[in-house]
Amino acid sequence: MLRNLSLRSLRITRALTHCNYATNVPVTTALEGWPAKLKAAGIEDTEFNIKCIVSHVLNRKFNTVPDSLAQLNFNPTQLADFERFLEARCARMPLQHIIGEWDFMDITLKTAPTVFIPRPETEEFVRLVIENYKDAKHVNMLEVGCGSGAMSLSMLHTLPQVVSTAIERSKAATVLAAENAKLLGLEGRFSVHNHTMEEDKYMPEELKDQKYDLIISNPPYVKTDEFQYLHPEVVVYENLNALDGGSDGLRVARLVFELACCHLHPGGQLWLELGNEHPPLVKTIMNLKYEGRLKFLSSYYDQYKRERFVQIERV
Amino acid sequence: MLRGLVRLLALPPPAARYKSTANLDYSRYPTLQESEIEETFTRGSGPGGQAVNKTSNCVFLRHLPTNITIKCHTHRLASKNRVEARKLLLEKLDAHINGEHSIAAQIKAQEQRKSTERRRRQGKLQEMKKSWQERERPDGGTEGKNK
Repeated sequence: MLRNLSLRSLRITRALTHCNYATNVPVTTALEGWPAKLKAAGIEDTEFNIKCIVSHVLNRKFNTVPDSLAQLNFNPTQLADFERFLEARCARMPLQHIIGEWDFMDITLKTAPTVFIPRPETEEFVRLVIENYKDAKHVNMLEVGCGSGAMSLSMLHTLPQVVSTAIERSKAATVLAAENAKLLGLEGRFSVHNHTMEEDKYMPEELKDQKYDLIISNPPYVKTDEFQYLHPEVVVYENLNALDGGSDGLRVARLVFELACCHLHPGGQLWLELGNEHPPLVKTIMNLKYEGRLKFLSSYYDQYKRERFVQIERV
Repeated sequence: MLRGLVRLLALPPPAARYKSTANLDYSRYPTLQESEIEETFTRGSGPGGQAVNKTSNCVFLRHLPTNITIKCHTHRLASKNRVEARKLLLEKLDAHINGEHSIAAQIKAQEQRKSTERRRRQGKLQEMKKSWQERERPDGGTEGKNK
Protein backbone atom coordinates (compact mmCIF):
# COMPACT_ATOMS: atom_id res chain seq x y z
CA MET A 1 0.00 0.00 0.00
CA LEU A 2 2.94 2.28 0.73
CA ARG A 3 3.83 2.05 -2.97
CA ASN A 4 0.68 4.01 -3.83
CA LEU A 5 1.37 6.92 -1.50
CA SER A 6 2.79 9.90 -3.36
CA LEU A 7 5.87 11.64 -2.07
CA ARG A 8 3.79 14.63 -1.02
CA SER A 9 1.37 12.67 1.12
CA LEU A 10 4.32 10.89 2.72
CA ARG A 11 5.78 14.26 3.62
CA ILE A 12 2.48 15.42 5.04
CA THR A 13 2.11 12.22 7.04
CA ARG A 14 5.60 12.75 8.41
CA ALA A 15 4.76 16.36 9.18
CA LEU A 16 1.57 15.29 10.92
CA THR A 17 3.46 12.94 13.22
CA HIS A 18 6.26 15.36 13.93
CA CYS A 19 4.11 18.38 14.77
CA ASN A 20 3.36 19.49 18.30
CA TYR A 21 -0.35 19.06 17.62
CA ALA A 22 -0.52 15.81 15.74
CA THR A 23 -3.41 17.03 13.58
CA ASN A 24 -1.98 20.40 12.47
CA VAL A 25 0.13 20.94 9.38
CA PRO A 26 2.37 23.93 8.74
CA VAL A 27 1.05 25.93 5.80
CA THR A 28 4.49 25.85 4.18
CA THR A 29 4.38 22.06 4.18
CA ALA A 30 0.81 21.90 2.91
CA LEU A 31 1.89 24.18 0.09
CA GLU A 32 4.56 21.87 -1.31
CA GLY A 33 4.10 21.11 -4.98
CA TRP A 34 1.27 23.57 -5.46
CA PRO A 35 3.14 26.55 -6.96
CA ALA A 36 4.36 24.26 -9.74
CA LYS A 37 0.86 22.83 -10.28
CA LEU A 38 -0.61 26.33 -10.47
CA LYS A 39 2.01 27.48 -12.95
CA ALA A 40 1.46 24.35 -15.04
CA ALA A 41 -2.26 25.18 -15.11
CA GLY A 42 -1.39 28.61 -16.53
CA ILE A 43 -1.80 30.71 -13.39
CA GLU A 44 0.51 33.68 -13.07
CA ASP A 45 0.91 35.56 -9.75
CA THR A 46 1.02 32.21 -7.93
CA GLU A 47 2.29 33.79 -4.70
CA PHE A 48 -0.55 36.27 -4.63
CA ASN A 49 -3.16 33.61 -5.35
CA ILE A 50 -1.74 31.35 -2.64
CA LYS A 51 -1.63 34.13 -0.07
CA CYS A 52 -5.25 35.08 -0.80
CA ILE A 53 -6.39 31.48 -0.42
CA VAL A 54 -4.36 30.90 2.76
CA SER A 55 -5.80 34.08 4.30
CA HIS A 56 -9.30 33.00 3.35
CA VAL A 57 -8.88 29.51 4.82
CA LEU A 58 -7.43 30.91 8.05
CA ASN A 59 -10.15 33.59 8.11
CA ARG A 60 -7.58 36.36 8.39
CA LYS A 61 -7.13 39.65 6.59
CA PHE A 62 -4.73 39.48 3.66
CA ASN A 63 -2.45 42.18 5.05
CA THR A 64 -2.03 40.40 8.39
CA VAL A 65 -0.59 37.25 6.82
CA PRO A 66 3.20 37.28 6.31
CA ASP A 67 4.47 36.76 2.74
CA SER A 68 6.61 33.87 3.94
CA LEU A 69 3.51 32.15 5.45
CA ALA A 70 5.79 31.29 8.35
CA GLN A 71 4.39 29.99 11.63
CA LEU A 72 0.93 29.33 10.21
CA ASN A 73 -0.82 26.00 10.55
CA PHE A 74 -3.87 24.29 9.11
CA ASN A 75 -6.13 21.99 11.08
CA PRO A 76 -7.48 19.01 9.09
CA THR A 77 -10.61 20.88 7.95
CA GLN A 78 -8.60 23.87 6.84
CA LEU A 79 -6.15 21.63 5.04
CA ALA A 80 -8.98 19.98 3.12
CA ASP A 81 -10.45 23.37 2.20
CA PHE A 82 -7.03 24.63 1.16
CA GLU A 83 -6.45 21.73 -1.21
CA ARG A 84 -9.97 22.03 -2.61
CA PHE A 85 -9.52 25.74 -3.33
CA LEU A 86 -6.16 25.19 -4.98
CA GLU A 87 -7.61 22.45 -7.19
CA ALA A 88 -10.39 24.85 -8.16
CA ARG A 89 -7.82 27.50 -8.98
CA CYS A 90 -5.94 25.01 -11.13
CA ALA A 91 -9.21 24.50 -12.96
CA ARG A 92 -9.04 28.28 -13.61
CA MET A 93 -11.93 29.19 -11.34
CA PRO A 94 -11.48 32.89 -10.64
CA LEU A 95 -9.76 33.62 -7.33
CA GLN A 96 -12.57 35.99 -6.41
CA HIS A 97 -15.20 33.26 -6.83
CA ILE A 98 -13.15 30.82 -4.76
CA ILE A 99 -12.79 33.13 -1.79
CA GLY A 100 -16.36 34.33 -2.12
CA GLU A 101 -15.61 38.01 -1.78
CA TRP A 102 -13.60 40.79 -3.35
CA ASP A 103 -12.72 44.36 -2.53
CA PHE A 104 -13.77 47.34 -4.58
CA MET A 105 -12.56 50.75 -3.48
CA ASP A 106 -13.42 50.98 0.22
CA ILE A 107 -16.01 48.22 0.30
CA THR A 108 -15.92 44.45 0.19
CA LEU A 109 -18.48 42.69 -1.96
CA LYS A 110 -19.71 39.14 -1.94
CA THR A 111 -19.03 37.30 -5.20
CA ALA A 112 -21.09 34.51 -6.74
CA PRO A 113 -20.59 31.99 -9.53
CA THR A 114 -21.23 33.41 -13.03
CA VAL A 115 -21.53 36.99 -11.80
CA PHE A 116 -19.05 39.39 -13.38
CA ILE A 117 -16.18 40.35 -11.10
CA PRO A 118 -15.47 44.10 -10.86
CA ARG A 119 -12.29 45.13 -12.67
CA PRO A 120 -9.65 47.56 -11.28
CA GLU A 121 -10.28 50.02 -14.13
CA THR A 122 -13.83 50.42 -12.89
CA GLU A 123 -12.54 51.70 -9.55
CA GLU A 124 -10.93 54.58 -11.42
CA PHE A 125 -14.19 55.16 -13.25
CA VAL A 126 -16.17 55.40 -10.02
CA ARG A 127 -13.51 57.64 -8.45
CA LEU A 128 -13.96 60.00 -11.39
CA VAL A 129 -17.74 60.09 -11.11
CA ILE A 130 -17.52 60.64 -7.35
CA GLU A 131 -15.12 63.53 -7.89
CA ASN A 132 -17.65 65.13 -10.23
CA TYR A 133 -20.65 64.64 -7.96
CA LYS A 134 -19.27 65.01 -4.44
CA ASP A 135 -20.59 68.54 -4.09
CA ALA A 136 -24.02 67.86 -5.56
CA LYS A 137 -26.99 68.32 -3.23
CA HIS A 138 -28.94 65.22 -4.15
CA VAL A 139 -28.36 62.77 -6.96
CA ASN A 140 -30.98 60.41 -8.34
CA MET A 141 -28.85 57.87 -10.17
CA LEU A 142 -29.55 54.99 -12.52
CA GLU A 143 -27.05 52.22 -13.14
CA VAL A 144 -27.45 50.06 -16.22
CA GLY A 145 -26.05 46.56 -15.76
CA CYS A 146 -24.99 46.68 -12.13
CA GLY A 147 -23.65 43.11 -11.83
CA SER A 148 -22.60 42.54 -8.23
CA GLY A 149 -23.49 46.15 -7.41
CA ALA A 150 -19.89 47.39 -7.19
CA MET A 151 -20.33 50.80 -8.84
CA SER A 152 -23.61 51.84 -7.22
CA LEU A 153 -22.70 50.55 -3.79
CA SER A 154 -19.26 52.16 -3.68
CA MET A 155 -20.84 55.45 -4.75
CA LEU A 156 -23.55 55.19 -2.12
CA HIS A 157 -20.94 54.28 0.47
CA THR A 158 -18.90 57.38 -0.32
CA LEU A 159 -21.65 59.92 -1.10
CA PRO A 160 -24.62 59.95 1.25
CA GLN A 161 -26.60 62.21 -1.05
CA VAL A 162 -26.89 59.66 -3.84
CA VAL A 163 -29.74 57.19 -4.30
CA SER A 164 -29.42 54.48 -6.90
CA THR A 165 -31.77 52.41 -9.02
CA ALA A 166 -30.24 49.64 -11.08
CA ILE A 167 -31.35 47.38 -13.88
CA GLU A 168 -29.61 44.06 -14.46
CA ARG A 169 -30.39 41.26 -16.92
CA SER A 170 -28.88 38.39 -14.94
CA LYS A 171 -31.08 36.92 -12.23
CA ALA A 172 -28.04 35.74 -10.28
CA ALA A 173 -26.46 39.19 -10.39
CA THR A 174 -29.74 40.87 -9.42
CA VAL A 175 -29.96 38.70 -6.33
CA LEU A 176 -26.29 39.24 -5.51
CA ALA A 177 -26.48 43.02 -5.87
CA ALA A 178 -29.46 43.16 -3.53
CA GLU A 179 -27.60 40.95 -1.07
CA ASN A 180 -24.51 43.14 -1.20
CA ALA A 181 -26.61 46.24 -0.60
CA LYS A 182 -28.04 44.60 2.51
CA LEU A 183 -24.61 43.46 3.74
CA LEU A 184 -23.35 47.02 3.39
CA GLY A 185 -26.39 48.61 5.02
CA LEU A 186 -27.21 50.48 1.83
CA GLU A 187 -30.52 48.83 0.92
CA GLY A 188 -32.39 52.00 1.84
CA ARG A 189 -30.81 53.83 -1.07
CA PHE A 190 -30.43 51.03 -3.61
CA SER A 191 -32.95 49.05 -5.58
CA VAL A 192 -32.25 46.63 -8.40
CA HIS A 193 -34.67 45.44 -11.08
CA ASN A 194 -34.16 42.31 -13.14
CA HIS A 195 -34.61 43.50 -16.71
CA THR A 196 -33.01 43.08 -20.13
CA MET A 197 -32.85 46.20 -22.31
CA GLU A 198 -34.48 45.90 -25.72
CA GLU A 199 -35.22 48.39 -28.42
CA ASP A 200 -38.42 50.19 -27.37
CA LYS A 201 -38.37 48.53 -23.97
CA TYR A 202 -35.27 50.00 -22.38
CA MET A 203 -36.67 50.05 -18.87
CA PRO A 204 -38.93 47.69 -16.93
CA GLU A 205 -42.59 48.64 -16.66
CA GLU A 206 -42.33 49.99 -13.12
CA LEU A 207 -39.59 52.47 -14.12
CA LYS A 208 -40.89 53.56 -17.52
CA ASP A 209 -41.73 57.10 -16.42
CA GLN A 210 -38.68 57.71 -14.26
CA LYS A 211 -36.07 60.36 -15.01
CA TYR A 212 -32.63 60.61 -13.43
CA ASP A 213 -29.89 63.16 -12.75
CA LEU A 214 -27.11 60.73 -13.54
CA ILE A 215 -26.80 57.47 -15.44
CA ILE A 216 -23.70 55.30 -15.07
CA SER A 217 -22.88 52.12 -16.89
CA ASN A 218 -20.11 49.70 -17.60
CA PRO A 219 -21.94 47.91 -20.40
CA PRO A 220 -20.52 44.80 -22.06
CA TYR A 221 -17.94 46.15 -24.53
CA VAL A 222 -15.83 43.22 -25.65
CA LYS A 223 -15.99 42.66 -29.42
CA THR A 224 -17.28 39.27 -30.48
CA ASP A 225 -14.08 38.44 -32.35
CA GLU A 226 -12.02 39.10 -29.20
CA PHE A 227 -13.75 36.23 -27.39
CA GLN A 228 -11.18 33.74 -28.64
CA TYR A 229 -8.50 35.51 -26.60
CA LEU A 230 -10.38 35.45 -23.31
CA HIS A 231 -8.86 33.48 -20.48
CA PRO A 232 -10.81 30.52 -19.05
CA GLU A 233 -11.48 32.51 -15.84
CA VAL A 234 -13.52 34.89 -17.93
CA VAL A 235 -15.05 32.79 -20.67
CA VAL A 236 -15.93 29.74 -18.59
CA TYR A 237 -16.83 31.17 -15.21
CA GLU A 238 -18.26 34.60 -15.95
CA ASN A 239 -21.42 35.29 -17.88
CA LEU A 240 -20.69 36.16 -21.50
CA ASN A 241 -23.73 38.44 -21.50
CA ALA A 242 -21.70 40.70 -19.25
CA LEU A 243 -19.02 40.95 -21.91
CA ASP A 244 -20.57 40.69 -25.35
CA GLY A 245 -20.70 44.05 -27.06
CA GLY A 246 -21.33 42.69 -30.53
CA SER A 247 -19.12 43.26 -33.55
CA ASP A 248 -17.83 46.72 -32.65
CA GLY A 249 -18.28 46.35 -28.90
CA LEU A 250 -20.90 49.11 -28.77
CA ARG A 251 -24.12 47.15 -29.27
CA VAL A 252 -25.24 47.52 -25.67
CA ALA A 253 -23.86 51.07 -25.33
CA ARG A 254 -26.14 52.08 -28.18
CA LEU A 255 -29.15 50.87 -26.21
CA VAL A 256 -27.93 52.95 -23.27
CA PHE A 257 -27.73 56.07 -25.48
CA GLU A 258 -31.41 55.66 -26.37
CA LEU A 259 -32.31 54.95 -22.76
CA ALA A 260 -30.50 58.13 -21.72
CA CYS A 261 -32.52 60.23 -24.18
CA CYS A 262 -35.71 59.03 -22.53
CA HIS A 263 -34.64 58.92 -18.90
CA LEU A 264 -32.13 61.69 -18.20
CA HIS A 265 -33.21 65.13 -17.00
CA PRO A 266 -31.94 67.94 -19.24
CA GLY A 267 -28.47 68.80 -17.98
CA GLY A 268 -28.16 65.33 -16.51
CA GLN A 269 -25.10 63.27 -17.40
CA LEU A 270 -24.33 59.83 -18.74
CA TRP A 271 -21.00 58.32 -17.76
CA LEU A 272 -19.76 55.16 -19.43
CA GLU A 273 -16.80 52.84 -19.05
CA LEU A 274 -15.95 51.34 -22.44
CA GLY A 275 -13.17 49.63 -24.34
CA ASN A 276 -10.03 51.57 -25.12
CA GLU A 277 -10.83 52.36 -28.75
CA HIS A 278 -14.39 53.46 -28.11
CA PRO A 279 -14.30 57.10 -26.92
CA PRO A 280 -13.60 58.63 -30.37
CA LEU A 281 -16.32 56.42 -31.91
CA VAL A 282 -18.78 57.53 -29.24
CA LYS A 283 -17.96 61.19 -29.95
CA THR A 284 -18.71 60.61 -33.61
CA ILE A 285 -21.98 58.83 -32.86
CA MET A 286 -23.07 61.71 -30.60
CA ASN A 287 -22.30 64.28 -33.29
CA LEU A 288 -23.93 62.35 -36.13
CA LYS A 289 -26.95 60.83 -34.47
CA TYR A 290 -27.77 62.62 -31.24
CA GLU A 291 -27.38 66.30 -32.04
CA GLY A 292 -29.74 68.30 -29.89
CA ARG A 293 -30.25 65.34 -27.56
CA LEU A 294 -26.89 64.15 -26.26
CA LYS A 295 -23.60 66.00 -26.22
CA PHE A 296 -20.16 64.43 -25.84
CA LEU A 297 -18.40 66.38 -23.06
CA SER A 298 -15.13 64.58 -22.43
CA SER A 299 -13.19 61.36 -22.31
CA TYR A 300 -10.79 60.21 -19.56
CA TYR A 301 -7.97 57.74 -19.06
CA ASP A 302 -7.77 54.81 -16.66
CA GLN A 303 -4.77 54.08 -14.39
CA TYR A 304 -3.12 52.07 -17.18
CA LYS A 305 -3.23 55.17 -19.40
CA ARG A 306 -6.00 53.82 -21.63
CA GLU A 307 -8.68 56.17 -22.87
CA ARG A 308 -11.80 54.44 -21.64
CA PHE A 309 -14.29 56.68 -19.89
CA VAL A 310 -16.78 59.02 -21.53
CA GLN A 311 -18.89 61.83 -20.14
CA ILE A 312 -22.05 62.77 -22.02
CA GLU A 313 -24.69 65.39 -21.28
CA ARG A 314 -28.41 65.36 -21.95
CA VAL A 315 -29.04 68.55 -23.87
CA MET B 1 -7.45 61.69 -11.25
CA LEU B 2 -4.80 61.19 -8.64
CA ARG B 3 -4.43 64.94 -8.23
CA GLY B 4 -6.81 64.84 -5.29
CA LEU B 5 -4.86 61.97 -3.83
CA VAL B 6 -1.50 63.70 -4.21
CA ARG B 7 -2.91 66.90 -2.72
CA LEU B 8 -3.96 64.83 0.27
CA LEU B 9 -0.56 63.19 0.55
CA ALA B 10 1.27 66.51 0.20
CA LEU B 11 -0.02 67.28 3.67
CA PRO B 12 2.07 65.70 6.42
CA PRO B 13 0.75 62.29 7.41
CA PRO B 14 -1.66 62.40 10.32
CA ALA B 15 0.81 61.28 12.95
CA ALA B 16 -2.08 60.17 15.07
CA ARG B 17 -0.04 57.27 16.40
CA TYR B 18 2.29 59.66 18.15
CA LYS B 19 1.14 61.37 21.30
CA SER B 20 2.43 64.90 20.69
CA THR B 21 2.71 66.19 17.15
CA ALA B 22 2.89 69.81 18.13
CA ASN B 23 6.67 69.80 18.28
CA LEU B 24 7.25 68.24 14.86
CA ASP B 25 8.78 70.49 12.22
CA TYR B 26 7.05 69.94 8.89
CA SER B 27 8.63 72.90 7.16
CA ARG B 28 11.03 70.67 5.26
CA TYR B 29 8.48 67.95 4.45
CA PRO B 30 8.59 67.13 0.73
CA THR B 31 5.66 67.21 -1.68
CA LEU B 32 4.91 64.59 -4.26
CA GLN B 33 4.05 65.59 -7.82
CA GLU B 34 2.34 62.95 -9.93
CA SER B 35 4.38 64.13 -12.91
CA GLU B 36 7.56 63.12 -11.08
CA ILE B 37 6.37 59.58 -10.39
CA GLU B 38 6.62 56.64 -12.74
CA GLU B 39 4.07 54.06 -11.73
CA THR B 40 4.02 50.51 -13.02
CA PHE B 41 1.93 47.49 -12.23
CA THR B 42 2.84 43.90 -12.86
CA ARG B 43 1.10 42.51 -15.94
CA GLY B 44 0.24 45.97 -17.18
CA SER B 45 0.37 45.05 -20.83
CA GLY B 46 -2.60 44.27 -23.06
CA PRO B 47 -5.94 46.02 -23.43
CA GLY B 48 -7.16 45.03 -19.98
CA GLY B 49 -10.66 46.00 -18.98
CA GLN B 50 -13.57 43.55 -19.08
CA ALA B 51 -11.67 41.02 -21.16
CA VAL B 52 -9.17 40.31 -18.38
CA ASN B 53 -9.52 39.28 -14.76
CA LYS B 54 -6.43 40.91 -13.31
CA THR B 55 -5.62 40.01 -9.75
CA SER B 56 -2.08 41.26 -9.47
CA ASN B 57 -1.85 43.75 -6.66
CA CYS B 58 1.75 44.88 -6.89
CA VAL B 59 2.51 48.56 -7.43
CA PHE B 60 5.95 49.93 -8.32
CA LEU B 61 6.76 53.61 -7.99
CA ARG B 62 9.89 55.34 -9.16
CA HIS B 63 10.54 58.92 -8.16
CA LEU B 64 12.16 60.34 -11.27
CA PRO B 65 14.23 63.20 -9.78
CA THR B 66 15.85 61.00 -7.11
CA ASN B 67 15.43 57.52 -8.62
CA ILE B 68 14.04 56.27 -5.32
CA THR B 69 11.86 53.18 -5.88
CA ILE B 70 9.06 51.64 -3.87
CA LYS B 71 7.44 48.26 -4.25
CA CYS B 72 4.16 47.72 -2.42
CA HIS B 73 1.96 44.64 -2.21
CA THR B 74 0.65 44.92 1.35
CA HIS B 75 -3.03 44.93 0.44
CA ARG B 76 -5.14 42.59 -1.62
CA LEU B 77 -6.25 45.41 -3.90
CA ALA B 78 -3.88 47.29 -6.18
CA SER B 79 -5.78 50.54 -5.65
CA LYS B 80 -5.04 50.43 -1.93
CA ASN B 81 -1.40 49.64 -2.65
CA ARG B 82 -1.19 52.73 -4.85
CA VAL B 83 -2.08 54.89 -1.86
CA GLU B 84 0.21 52.94 0.48
CA ALA B 85 3.10 53.14 -2.01
CA ARG B 86 2.81 56.92 -2.22
CA LYS B 87 2.86 57.21 1.57
CA LEU B 88 5.99 55.04 1.69
CA LEU B 89 7.60 57.08 -1.08
CA LEU B 90 6.97 60.31 0.80
CA GLU B 91 8.56 58.84 3.92
CA LYS B 92 11.57 57.64 1.96
CA LEU B 93 11.90 61.01 0.22
CA ASP B 94 11.68 62.78 3.55
CA ALA B 95 14.48 60.62 4.95
CA HIS B 96 16.55 61.04 1.79
CA ILE B 97 16.23 64.82 1.52
CA ASN B 98 16.02 65.81 5.17
CA GLY B 99 18.06 63.14 6.96
CA GLU B 100 18.00 63.97 10.65
CA HIS B 101 15.32 66.60 10.07
CA SER B 102 12.89 64.08 8.56
CA ILE B 103 9.66 63.49 10.45
CA ALA B 104 10.66 59.91 11.26
CA ALA B 105 14.01 61.05 12.67
CA GLN B 106 12.33 63.81 14.69
CA ILE B 107 9.86 61.34 16.19
CA LYS B 108 12.69 58.95 17.02
CA ALA B 109 14.63 61.75 18.70
CA GLN B 110 11.51 62.70 20.67
CA GLU B 111 11.01 59.09 21.78
CA GLN B 112 14.69 58.92 22.76
CA ARG B 113 14.39 62.07 24.81
CA LYS B 114 11.24 60.75 26.46
CA SER B 115 12.83 57.45 27.43
CA THR B 116 16.01 59.13 28.65
CA GLU B 117 13.87 61.48 30.75
CA ARG B 118 11.85 58.54 32.03
CA ARG B 119 15.01 56.68 33.01
CA ARG B 120 16.43 59.76 34.69
CA ARG B 121 13.24 60.23 36.71
CA GLN B 122 13.13 56.55 37.65
CA GLY B 123 16.78 56.72 38.70
CA LYS B 124 16.01 59.78 40.84
CA LEU B 125 13.02 57.99 42.38
CA GLN B 126 15.18 54.97 43.23
CA GLU B 127 17.77 57.27 44.83
CA MET B 128 15.10 58.97 46.90
CA LYS B 129 13.65 55.60 47.98
CA LYS B 130 17.11 54.37 48.98
CA SER B 131 17.94 57.43 51.03
CA TRP B 132 14.49 57.23 52.76
CA GLN B 133 15.13 53.58 53.62
CA GLU B 134 18.58 54.42 54.98
CA ARG B 135 17.07 57.12 57.16
CA GLU B 136 14.46 54.71 58.55
CA ARG B 137 17.06 52.05 59.32
CA PRO B 138 19.97 53.93 60.90
CA ASP B 139 21.61 50.69 62.00
CA GLY B 140 21.43 49.44 58.42
CA GLY B 141 19.99 46.24 59.91
CA THR B 142 17.29 43.89 58.79
CA GLU B 143 14.33 45.33 60.71
CA GLY B 144 10.96 44.90 59.04
CA LYS B 145 9.62 47.90 57.20
CA ASN B 146 6.39 48.13 59.25
CA LYS B 147 6.45 49.23 62.84
